[in-house]
Amino acid sequence: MTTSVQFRGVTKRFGSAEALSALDLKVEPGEFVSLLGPSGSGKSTTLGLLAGLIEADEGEILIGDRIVNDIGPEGRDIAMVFQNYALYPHMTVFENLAFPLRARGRRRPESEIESRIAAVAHALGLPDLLHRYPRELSGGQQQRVALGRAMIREPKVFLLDEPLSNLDARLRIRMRHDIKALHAAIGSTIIYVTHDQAEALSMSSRIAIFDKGKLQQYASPFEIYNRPANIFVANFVGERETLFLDGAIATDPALCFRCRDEALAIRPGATNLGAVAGRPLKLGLRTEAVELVPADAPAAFPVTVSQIELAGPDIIVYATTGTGIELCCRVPANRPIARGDRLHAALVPEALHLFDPETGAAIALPALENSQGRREPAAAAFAYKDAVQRTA
Amino acid sequence: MALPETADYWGSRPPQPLVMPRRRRPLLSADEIRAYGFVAPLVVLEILFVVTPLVIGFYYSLHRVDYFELTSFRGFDNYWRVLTSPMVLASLAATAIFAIGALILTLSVGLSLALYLEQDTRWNIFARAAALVPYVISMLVGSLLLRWIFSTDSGLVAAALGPFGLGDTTILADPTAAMGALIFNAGWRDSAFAMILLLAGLKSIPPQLHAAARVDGASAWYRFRHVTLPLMRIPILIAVVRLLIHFVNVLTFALVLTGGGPNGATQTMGLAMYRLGFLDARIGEANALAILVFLFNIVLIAINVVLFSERRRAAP
Repeated sequence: MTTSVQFRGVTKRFGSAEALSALDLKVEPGEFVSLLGPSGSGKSTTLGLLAGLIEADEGEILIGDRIVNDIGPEGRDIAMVFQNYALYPHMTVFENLAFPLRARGRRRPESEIESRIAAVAHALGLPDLLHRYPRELSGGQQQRVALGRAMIREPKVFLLDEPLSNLDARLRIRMRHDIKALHAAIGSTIIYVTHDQAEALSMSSRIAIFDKGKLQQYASPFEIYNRPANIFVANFVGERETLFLDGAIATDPALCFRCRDEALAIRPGATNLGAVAGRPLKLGLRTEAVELVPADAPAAFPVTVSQIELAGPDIIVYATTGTGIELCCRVPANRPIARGDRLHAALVPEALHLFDPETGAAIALPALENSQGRREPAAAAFAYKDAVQRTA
Repeated sequence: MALPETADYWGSRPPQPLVMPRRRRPLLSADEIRAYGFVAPLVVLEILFVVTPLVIGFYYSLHRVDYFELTSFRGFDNYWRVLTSPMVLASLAATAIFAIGALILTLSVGLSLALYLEQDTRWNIFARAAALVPYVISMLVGSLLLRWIFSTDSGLVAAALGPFGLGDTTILADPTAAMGALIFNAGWRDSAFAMILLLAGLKSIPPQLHAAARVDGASAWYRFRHVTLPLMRIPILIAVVRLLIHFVNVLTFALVLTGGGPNGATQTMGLAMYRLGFLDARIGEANALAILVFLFNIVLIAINVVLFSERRRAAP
């Protein structure tokens, strides 16, 4: 009970504004794909087009092998969960769940409807609520009814439109887990729209990230986070804003990033940064790309701590370089660091993201020769953690 | 050893209940005076033009009145006379036929218009305004226009029916056709009012519900039956009651279009009252009928109020 979904050159305009331009996207059967982007990026338009609630101006939309452009939402065999749940307020939970079974032309025996509802209600923990009205339910319960209404018909494709954004933070994290478990259990194709990068990273098998109506990158969460295709992706994904610096890599006297008359030392690592030395770059720095190191480390530059924030087991240290560049890094909370401390930092080569300052596209580094297999950047960063702790 | 004086302070003398000096509160605070000041003009007008006539009317209804002169006390005799008068009973029947017919016509046309013009496109906004024209022009002018249109000599209807050999159809002279024309007059004018009330109800249904129903596989008719209509229950009931109040009381349509004729076939209660009071000069009986209609209105208004609070409670 699962199928593929495909967009072929789909464009949608609202008036003169292009909400979605020439989208090409293929979702394999059983995949969990998140459409991620800020508001107005085209992700909800994409979902609306797939649901049939919006008509495409150009291109083809396929569900399975069938072109569905001219088929209304009634005929597409999809189910959708809306942001505000869209439960029918005049119907009980039972009637809400029964609606998709009763609405579809073919008659079903009531006994079959009842047994299906019982099964879905059991799976979602709703049996005690079947005779309540939506207004008598909490947000989380309404959310589960909405999911149940989508599941009841066992559709081939599930569309979820920001289903968690109306829940409080904790419940949201639990529902993430529940939806992922649901996907594992039913195996349907799921298209999930969200503006929350953490949701997309934690749930998806692939993420399609949108900006201004254009697909920016379509890849696995690991790929999206660690090898962002351009500046927009690098900045949008990740808990904090990414710091972008204009400058160039230099290798003389040691490997460093030259920026605003300052040389930010890069510690040695398994990357080929020297290959792009001298070329003007935009460097993207997330917290894991900066490390505090001992003053006598071979690669180090002095920084002054301007602010610290506790983030659970870690602290986030904001540190300013000699010329006033404000860097940000994450260290274990047991390190005694205070505002005004003068420390030393270095850049982590595996976690650096390089972009072309003109186009904003990522710059690929040529592979290292005779390296013993490429280590994943994140793994490399973790391996170096011990060294960081020794500086305490 | 003598205790310090403070030690037996609570012991020797039980705490006295606190007595606040009683100060006279002014009858009205400054805020209250200001508030009453704002309300007063309306209250005065209501008393002058609603309560006073009502009280006078009730007083008159207990008397025999000849040209505004109270000649004798009749008690509730006037009410009995009114309730047993064939003319009044006929007008009651005419009112019932008119009100129910007009209600069905107005509601179905109003709901159709509201459904058709629900989207805020440029054409729809223009069409809504156009549909409102019969409602906003004077009721008197509208009914006069329709009387000309229905007239046999020079009317548009006669001109339109002429080629079919129906040119001499006398619409306003045939009892059934005249009632039909009266109902048409009401529908022509008040469908727009029903449309506005129902449009407000339609707009309060979240569009996501229709999107959800479509994705759930519901056809247009199924969505109308199972989503739109149930959520429109209260707005429709409110429209029914408001229109009923209007149709039971309205005088102009019958007075101008048919004058109650032919032979009293379209004489509604409003017109009967008018005839009793101003043509037959039986002011006492006219007032008794007015009080009865007033009581019936109170019931309708009470239903309206209950429905309104219901809607506020059930608002999604």
